[in-house]
Amino acid sequence: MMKKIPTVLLLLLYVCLMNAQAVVRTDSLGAGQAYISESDTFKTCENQPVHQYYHQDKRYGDEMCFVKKYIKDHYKPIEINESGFLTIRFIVNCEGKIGNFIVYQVDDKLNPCQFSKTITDQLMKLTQELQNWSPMTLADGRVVNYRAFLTFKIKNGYVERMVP
Amino acid sequence: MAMLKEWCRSGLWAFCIFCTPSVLAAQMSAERVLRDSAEKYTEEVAFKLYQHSFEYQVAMDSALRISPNWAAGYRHKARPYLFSGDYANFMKYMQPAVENDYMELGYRGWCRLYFIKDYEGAIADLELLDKKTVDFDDFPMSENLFYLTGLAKKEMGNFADALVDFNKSVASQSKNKGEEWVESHTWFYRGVTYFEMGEYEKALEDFYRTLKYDANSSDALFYMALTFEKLHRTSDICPLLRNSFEKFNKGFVHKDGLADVPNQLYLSDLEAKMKQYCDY
Repeated sequence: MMKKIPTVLLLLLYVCLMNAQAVVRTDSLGAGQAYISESDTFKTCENQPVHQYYHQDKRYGDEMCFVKKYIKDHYKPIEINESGFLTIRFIVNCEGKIGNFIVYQVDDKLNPCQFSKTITDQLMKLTQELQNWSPMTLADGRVVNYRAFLTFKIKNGYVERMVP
Repeated sequence: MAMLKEWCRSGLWAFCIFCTPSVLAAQMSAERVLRDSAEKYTEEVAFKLYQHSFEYQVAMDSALRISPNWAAGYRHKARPYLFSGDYANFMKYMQPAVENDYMELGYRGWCRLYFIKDYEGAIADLELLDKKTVDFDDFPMSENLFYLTGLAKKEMGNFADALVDFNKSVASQSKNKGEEWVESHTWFYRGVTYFEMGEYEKALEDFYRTLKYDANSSDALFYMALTFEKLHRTSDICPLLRNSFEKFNKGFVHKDGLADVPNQLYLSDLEAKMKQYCDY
């Protein structure tokens, strides 16, 4: 009988925690220093789950280096004392169209910050111009929506690198 | 009265000496039980949920409520933010992780190197971990710490410092069992560093060594072709590019599904060089 007491106590603790989930507060994904730019025309494909970009190899055309080249060729650097990381997150729908943009901004110490509008607007515009995203096809043949993002590593107003 | 005082003082000392370890042991034991419960709960509840969901975050909050000092729990909570490009929240939850267990500096530094490309931050985390663990060599996420700091320094363009770290990494990985235990990417990236410094013969040596331990490395074959280009050994270039192309198409290329690796080899780069040297 005594041997069963710890097991029973653990079970009780487990049950209490299962019930406690509903009252625990948390930050949801996408919260924080973000703003969302809504598109009037963009729609995710109905009845399809939203996957993540890393569930497939092929994302943009044949290779991601074309995205990097496009940004490098078209971004106009501005001389400004601003460095850090600007991320634009979005959904690629089953037609390869992108929308539902969220922007995250951190400085070079990864603390929340706000870049100049000239940088943010320019990178948002260039991202929206990228039209060759590959829809995601699952092993069972279903074509689904997925979330992707581009992070621009900015050094004194220049785009130094990109992620992923 | 004085005797009574002395007696009380001795009693207090005896209590402290005999009971404190027991109290501490009981406290540690209680913490261990809570930690085990939090781990069990995470495995059985949180890990069965989609990690980018609100429910996953709620489950991790619940686990951390059971064991508020559980460093790995904060890491599990932080990870989806990293994969979403939300670095502020990633850092927010990794901070208590490293405060509760400095070994988490290895994971944070590794992520800052590969996924955020925050090289200064990666070096700071990894070097701090190295200072805290002077008695042994660290392998964050199974990669040698000096290899990681070398990579970060190379990516920043500090090639001389990168070489120092790559050499330390070779020494660290080979000290007990010999050169064959050195992970082949260490040779490859040391070769790329020599290449960037214009030391082409040394670069070639390292690319040959990479191929000795990983004969299918399309990356080493491609960089070897680039080195021969620099050395004006034009006739050697095309066979290497063809070999690299063949290996690449069989999937033998260094890559990661989450983000490009340093000196990522793209098919378009290979094809461009083949058009130049192989009538592709």
